[in-house]
Amino acid sequence: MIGAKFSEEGKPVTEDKNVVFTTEHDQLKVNMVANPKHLYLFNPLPTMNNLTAGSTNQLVSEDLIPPFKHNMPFRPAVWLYMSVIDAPAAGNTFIGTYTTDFYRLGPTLIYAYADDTYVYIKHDYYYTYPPLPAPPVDPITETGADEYKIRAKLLVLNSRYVGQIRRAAP
Amino acid sequence: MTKYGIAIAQSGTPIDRASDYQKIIDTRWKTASIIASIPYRNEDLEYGPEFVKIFDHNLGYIPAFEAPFYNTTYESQSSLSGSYLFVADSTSIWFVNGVHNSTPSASPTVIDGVINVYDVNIEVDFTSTRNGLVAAPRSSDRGVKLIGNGKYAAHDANDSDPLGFSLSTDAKGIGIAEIGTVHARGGDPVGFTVLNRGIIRHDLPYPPLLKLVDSTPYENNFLVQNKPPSATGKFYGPMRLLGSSGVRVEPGQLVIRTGYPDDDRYRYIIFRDPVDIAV
Repeated sequence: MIGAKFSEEGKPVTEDKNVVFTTEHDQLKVNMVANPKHLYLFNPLPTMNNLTAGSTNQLVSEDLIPPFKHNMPFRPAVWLYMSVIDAPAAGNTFIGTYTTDFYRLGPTLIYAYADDTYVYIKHDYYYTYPPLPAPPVDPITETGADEYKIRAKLLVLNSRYVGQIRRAAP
Repeated sequence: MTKYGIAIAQSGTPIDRASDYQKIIDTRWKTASIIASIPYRNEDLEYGPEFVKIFDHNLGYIPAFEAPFYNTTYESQSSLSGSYLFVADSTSIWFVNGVHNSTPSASPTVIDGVINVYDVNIEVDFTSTRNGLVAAPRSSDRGVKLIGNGKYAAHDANDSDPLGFSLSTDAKGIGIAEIGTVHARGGDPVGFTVLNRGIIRHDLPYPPLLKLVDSTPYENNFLVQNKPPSATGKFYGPMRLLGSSGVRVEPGQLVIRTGYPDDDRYRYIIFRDPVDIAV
């Protein structure tokens, strides 16, 4: 065994409930000296484009930031915290709201994920109206996505995420 | 508060006067250790309800955990939160089959993800003490690395990724600022009103990282009628945050809104930025 373990003052370190710090387990943490960085603040995120789908139920997507290498030997967990600071009139109820993992603004979706090599922040447009069996509407272009301003904090964690996160096209 | 441990300050900063942001590590910071990281894949979800034990954590308390996954069949973004599909009790992590399949489906549902369990008792309130919050440039190349316990023997001390080091001062922990209960009253499905606000106050000078945990007493819920076969019957969902309009940022507080007429619906954890950032 290599490491260190500290308990509360006057309490035996042999009982787990007394331990205040141990190197036995990995802590949830962020590499603060990584290059590219593993902690980003966006104020705001780059502006989204209004995406055009060929027809309803077709997923279209763009990178909101250039994908960057995480240089980890595994697929890391990514936390993306986002808050809308400005929005088109149709989306003004979102102003001030706060979320993580994904931001669903009607048919507009913003989310982060990592694969084995890169970290991504994506903007998806997935228009599902009119519901089937109505005939497809094509093409259809997103409206107002370019008017959102979103503050965001991105953390690339040391914990593993082995699952595939990105939503595939239906 | 313990008086013993390790604290390392940046070069040129006396340790007895160093604020948290000027330290590279302080063993008094409360962080979340990863007790277990379990890959999980289910290729044949069926209509439930059924509780399937994933593994025994045997911590003796109900831990905070995350269960992000990808639902390859439904392509549902909501599944990213892991809500309701996994629960923890004081001994085990359970997979709750059938929650997302409200009706039998002809096509198989596949989910793929990982379960991370932390050494955080989600039932015990906590408030941290902090020492300085202003970020400053990192000025030291000095620090400590302890290579992990044989699991990552290929590592040497020059490797840059923190995994595999039981201690690395290149990385800073996600500190825990508070653990508590938020009274999210619900009842009004539109907007944030006085009636439906649940308020979490904090003294961090930035919008903090927040995770909510669904607690046992939510009424008329699938899980209440379908509890896992644990001894106490108490169980909690994974850490997550509400969807696009469920939380609002206000100065010094976060406001929770829910459409459910429940009280004490959520436990919450407020995390500190890596411990208040020393870049």
